[in-house]
Formats: sequence, structure tokens, C-alpha cells
Amino acid sequence: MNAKKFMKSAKSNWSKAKRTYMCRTLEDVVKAYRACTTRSEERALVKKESAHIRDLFREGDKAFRRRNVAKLLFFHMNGYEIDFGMTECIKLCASNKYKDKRIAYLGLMILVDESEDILMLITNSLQTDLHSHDVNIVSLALNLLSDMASVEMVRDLLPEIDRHLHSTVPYIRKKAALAAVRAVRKLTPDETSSILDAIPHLFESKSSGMYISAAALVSTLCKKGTLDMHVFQTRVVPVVIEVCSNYLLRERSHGSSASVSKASVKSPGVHVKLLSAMRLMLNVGLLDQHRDRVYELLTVIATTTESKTLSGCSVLYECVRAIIAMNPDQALWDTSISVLVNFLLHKEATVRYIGLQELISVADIRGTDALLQIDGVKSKVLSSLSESDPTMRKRAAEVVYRSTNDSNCEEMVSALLDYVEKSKLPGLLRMDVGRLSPCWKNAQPQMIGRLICL
Amino acid sequence: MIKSIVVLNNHGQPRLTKFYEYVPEDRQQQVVTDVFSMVSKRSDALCNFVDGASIFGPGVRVIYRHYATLFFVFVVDEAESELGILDLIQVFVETLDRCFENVCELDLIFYMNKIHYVLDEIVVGGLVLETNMADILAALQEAKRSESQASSTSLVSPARSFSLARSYR
Repeated sequence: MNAKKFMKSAKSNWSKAKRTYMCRTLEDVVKAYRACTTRSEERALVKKESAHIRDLFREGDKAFRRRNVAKLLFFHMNGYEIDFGMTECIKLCASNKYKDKRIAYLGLMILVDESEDILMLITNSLQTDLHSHDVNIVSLALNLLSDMASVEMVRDLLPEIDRHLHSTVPYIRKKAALAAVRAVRKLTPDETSSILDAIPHLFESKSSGMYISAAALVSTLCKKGTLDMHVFQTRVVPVVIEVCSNYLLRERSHGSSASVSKASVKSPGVHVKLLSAMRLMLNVGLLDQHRDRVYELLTVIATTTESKTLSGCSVLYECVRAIIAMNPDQALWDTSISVLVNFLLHKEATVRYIGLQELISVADIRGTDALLQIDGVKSKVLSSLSESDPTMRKRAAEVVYRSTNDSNCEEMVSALLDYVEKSKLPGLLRMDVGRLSPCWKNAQPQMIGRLICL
Repeated sequence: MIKSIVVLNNHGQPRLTKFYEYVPEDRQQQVVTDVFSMVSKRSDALCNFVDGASIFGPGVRVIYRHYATLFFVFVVDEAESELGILDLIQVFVETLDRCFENVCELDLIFYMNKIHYVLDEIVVGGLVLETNMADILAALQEAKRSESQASSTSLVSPARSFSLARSYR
């Protein structure tokens, strides 16, 4: 009898040990998953492996937790429900090892959504991590905050975010700036007023990431509206404009020969973000002296940036968007429209697309005549009607429609009719022809005949 | 703001999915399918933008780049600059290339968590964090150091698992 009992317990111990020490690596599981030939095989594999992982979690296994969470994330990406992984991630968060925390935070960001109550459980461990001496641990916690913090969480942890906005480590400051973006979005302006004070300090460090995240913070504050205008105009705006003009004009290189007057831009990321922050500041409204400086800056950028490379074009594009927001005088409008018209001849389809899209909005603001004043605009616009991409052709048709007036009606309408005939889409026909009706009074009978044929 | 990032292969299998706005789990797979049907039929000569309004709501654009067997797709709202995002995709891919020495699809399959770590140094909470590759690599290096410092005994050493994957390729 005793021997039987002994055998039984030995067997169960053996199977337990086997389960623990036969824990497959992520690579093995991925390989097995890829070797499956049918969907049902895959499902069976995931079911078996999940059950195994669940058992290990229940037994409080410590050796394979990270590996198992990684496996669960792989299953999740492939569309399997693995809700039981969340609790394990929360437990892992409380570990004091960085590598445990790293995968735990990743798991939480992927598995949990902000509305779930389970998130409240980690507020405490977040608080601890935000006080950690390890820069990497603080950065993990800030990442999670900016990714998915709920209203209650940002409210509770706002003092911590504030403190890190003034951190001495630039890497932490830039992450804190993005966490502050989340706070601004989630909370009322009164609660986040301290963030506004930190902005000048953020722009002090001269790293690209710092500029990008500080610009994002300024943009979010502008979009949210209801700023403390006095602080904004006297302390934030001057700093941003100063930094923008320094950075945007410095971080570009003029060609080697003196005759080349255009400057090229190597990495457009920061330029784009700073210019878009400036655009949103213009939307909020600036004092006259600031407006004048922005005007100058935008003129220089629009006229001296080369447009051959994609990066040059992205700076120009963002600059034109800022100009549109500014609604400046005729001269700057003309400059920006010719920049866009030049986009239409670019070798990259993406740039041509942008050109067409922005011309639509410019024409809506400034009207047909402003568009037609630019040399050669007509032929360039008409040539876009023969693009190979249907979405681009559709936009080209929009631009053609907007650049049609009494004098060029015949040419434009016949091109539009060609386009409609080729695209064979009756829906387009109604749109284009219907809106051109004011021009019909000058139209030739022959053209009306073509229209009836359609 | 960037709403989501999806990397998928030429057959529409997801290799990386990241959602910065909450999407229910069953919808996530649908998003992958939708994105694939949008980008897969486009030839490389066409432009890299697709209007995503029909699937993701008004003002949303789908911006993608196609590298060999992989599509890198960013779904963004109107606040982002299209050309800026194209540049960002390039930064992401180049950084992966530096981290994995000629990154290929298998790297993404076997090291999904590492790809996420790289992405987390570039985009956080739907906002761009960093576009300077040297800074991104330095931060990753620092994190790696911090990870190995506190290393306990692990049954499979990282070096061995690494060589396994190489021989598999």
C-alpha cells in the first residue's frame, strides 16, 4: 500500500518537474507555430502551450516568467485571447529586476486598455518606479504613463511627471514631456497649469528628441486651447520662436559651390515637428512682434530650402502649412503656392500627392485667381490628370476644377471630360460636371454633346 | 497622432502590431486584414499614402513603405505630416537594421519583444519621441546594459539562442 502511494507521489512530482523544466523557449514555440499547416493545428498548439503557461503561473514559477509572457504576446499578436496574462504582468512589475519590469510593462501596454480597473493596481508600483534611481526604470514607467494612463492615474502621478520635467537627465526630460502630453489631454487646464512653466526649461537642452517632445507638448497645449494666455505669450512663445529660428536655419547645409543658394536638410524630423508647433501657435494667435519674426522665418525657409530630396520637401510642406495658418500678405502666399506647384513635377509620387492635396486647400482659401497667377500652373495641373494612381487623379480633378474660370474654361473642361471618360466612374461625373455649371455659359456646343454622350 | 503601427508580410501575416488608441482585440485582427487589403494591391510606383477614412474614420491616413517581404504601415490622424511619417518609417527600419545586422522578416518573428523595445524608443503614446538614430541606439544600448547587469542564471544563454536563430535562417 505504501509503495503504491509512494509511486503515485513520485509520478506526480515527476510530471510537475517535467512541466517546469520542459518549458519551451520563445523560439521553439514560434518555430512550432510556423510549422503548423492548418489553422486548427495552430489553435491546438496555442491551447496546449497556454494551458502549460497558465499552470506555471499558478504554481508561482519564477524562472520562466519572462519567457512565458513573451510567448503570450506572440499569441496575442496572432489573434488569440490570453487575458490571464495580465495578472502575471502586474506581478512582474513589482519585481525589482529591470528585465522583469521591461517585459511586464511591454505586456501591460499591449494587453490592457486604459478603461480596465486592473490598471489601478499598478499605480503603486508606478509610483515606486518613478522614484527609482535607475534611469531606465523611470523611463519605463514614463512610457507606460504616456501610452495608457487613465484620468485617475495621471491625476495621482502628475506631481511625479512635473518633477521629472525638471530632471537633470535629458533622456528622462523628453519622456516626461510626452507623459505631460497625456496629462494635458486627460486633465483640465487648471490642473496642468504647472506644465506650462516647465516648457522654457525643456527647450534648453539641444538634443533632437528633446525638441521633438517639447514641440509635441506645445502643440497639445495649443490644441487643447484655454491656455493662460499671459504666461503663454510672455514666457513660452518667445522661447519657441527663438529655438525654431536657431535650429531651423542652423541644421541645414548649403551646397559646396557658392552659386547654390538652396540649403538641404538631412534629418527633417525635428524641423517638421517645430514647424507644426509653430503652425498651431499661429492658430492660437500671436502678438504682432512675434508674428513678424515668424513671418520672416517662414519666408526664409520657403525660399531657400531645396526641393529635390524628400526631406527638403517635407520641410517645405510643413512650412507651407504654417504659412496657410498665418494667412499672410500676397507675396508670401504666392511663394507658397509656387512651392506647391513645383511639387507637382517632383519625381516622387508622394510629393506630387502632397502638392495636389495642399493646392486644394489653398484654392479654397485664396480662390481660383490666386492659383492661376503662378506661371505654368495650368499645364502642370493638367498633366497630373494622367497620374497612374487613382486617388491622385481624383485630387488632380479637384484642383483642375478649382483652377477653372471663364477664360480657360474650354481647355479645362475638355481635360476633365477626358478624365471622366477614362475613369468610367459615373459618380465622379456628377461631382465634376455639376460644380462646373457656372462655366457652361461659355462652353462650346460640341463639348455639351460629349457630355450628353456620357 | 499615430493611431497604430502594423508590420505585415506579403501574405498579410502580422509581424508587429501596436495600437496607441484602444482597439478591442477582435477588431485588431480585422485592422490587420483591412490594412493588408489596402496596401497589398498597390504597385511600388504608386504613392505611399492611402485614404483610411472608410475604415478608421474621417481624416485618417494610412502611410506605408514596402521593403522586400514586409509592409511597414502607420495609421495616423490629420495632425501628422505625411512626409514626416515616411521619414520616421525609414528611421525605424534603419534602426532595426543596425540592431539586427541586415534585419529580415525572421528577426521580427523571433524577437518580437525586442522589436517592441526599439519601437518604444522611437514612438511613445502615439507621439514621436526621437528621430536621431545615434540617440536611439545609445538608449537601447543603455537598456541592454541595465538588463544584463542584474542578470540571474538563465538556462539558455542569449548567445546560444542567437546562434540558433541564425542557423535556422
